[in-house]
Amino acid sequence: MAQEKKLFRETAIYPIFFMVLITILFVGFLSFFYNMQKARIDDNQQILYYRQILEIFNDKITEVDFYQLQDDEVLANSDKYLIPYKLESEKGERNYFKVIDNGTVVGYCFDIIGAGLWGTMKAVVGFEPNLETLIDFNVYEQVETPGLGGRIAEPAEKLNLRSDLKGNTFLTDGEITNYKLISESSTSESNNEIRQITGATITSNSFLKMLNQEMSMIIPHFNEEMAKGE
Amino acid sequence: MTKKQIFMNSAFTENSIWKQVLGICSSLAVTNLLINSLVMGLGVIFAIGLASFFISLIRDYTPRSVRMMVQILIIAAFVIIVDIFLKAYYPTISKSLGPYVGLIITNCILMGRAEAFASKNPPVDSFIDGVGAGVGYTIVLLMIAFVRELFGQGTLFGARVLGDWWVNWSIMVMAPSAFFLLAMLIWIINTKFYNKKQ
Repeated sequence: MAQEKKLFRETAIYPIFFMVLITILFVGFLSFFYNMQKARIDDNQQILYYRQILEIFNDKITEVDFYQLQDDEVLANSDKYLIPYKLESEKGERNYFKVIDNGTVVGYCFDIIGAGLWGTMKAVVGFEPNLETLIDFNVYEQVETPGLGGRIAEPAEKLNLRSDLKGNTFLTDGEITNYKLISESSTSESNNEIRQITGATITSNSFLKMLNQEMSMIIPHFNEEMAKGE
Repeated sequence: MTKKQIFMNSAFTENSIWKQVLGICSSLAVTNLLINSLVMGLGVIFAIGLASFFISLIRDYTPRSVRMMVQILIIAAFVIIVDIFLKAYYPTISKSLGPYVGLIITNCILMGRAEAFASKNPPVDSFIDGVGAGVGYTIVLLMIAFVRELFGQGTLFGARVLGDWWVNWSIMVMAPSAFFLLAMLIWIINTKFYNKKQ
């Protein structure tokens, strides 16, 4: 019996058998552990998503409020709340939110998707109600190079590209502003000059391209929805 | 070697960072805040301790031809557990650590201890060695983060320590400061302790 066992361990198939067994054991355990935590992780991601939208509009909302939120429900926080909508576009469904403060629409927030350097980049972008001014944006999902392109997710105080876009003119007579990247060390001389992220030209370009392409696609559909009274 | 000697050797005498200069990428990346460094350190202690234990446990059955694949698989499994745990219970810290938690898998310290110690020694000794290496790594992270957070932001673990008169040193918030601090740390420790021994 001992000799048979030894023989099996010496066969060419043994390393494969061993590797498969170990993989099944560990991956099985990981799957079990992940499934146990999945609901909690999804909740956290949802909370983070809403927080990023509310940050754009300088809203303050506590974690307790977030835990009370449910999908497709009005996200109420005293007098300030978001109403979620969905738009059908050529590239698929896009989420957007109407942001209300004291009964007044203070802006709209659009969820946009595009390609970064290494993979998909997702962001929420806030606009004033007439879409003429870009209030701010938050990149909530990206796989750019940490420390370089990854800085696209940093707050405006640390990121010149974001602070230059913050409060910038987005629509002029219905036309999207043609933003142009300039070196991070230079000074913007006009509204359309945006300081890029040093060492991450492709990410900076990708973000502006995503903003332009997505909003060009979304705005006509959004206007239609507005005309229909949502 | 006694258990205490294994721990002391792994954590201090043969410290992965100041003696072996391993795993420095993450030590430069996450040391801007003490809390990030502490969580990263705890993650590494957990992953390296348990990975070393399991690698040692199956060492007699592991074919040499696939041993490194097995080691990476086991290390990755424990690192992913840390990642899932942080995403579930500490989402803010998980987000601020970004990809660096996942990158523990490629941290040379873990593979180094697995190959140099766990694959040749009993499970409990390997566990102690792994935890020791993790503790040594965490101590270095905390030392660098202490200086960076204090001078870069005037805070320690997020609590303001220096008054409003303090002007933050921007360089300390940026990654290059960790290069200088780490180099100084290695220089001081080597001059003070190792050169004398030699």
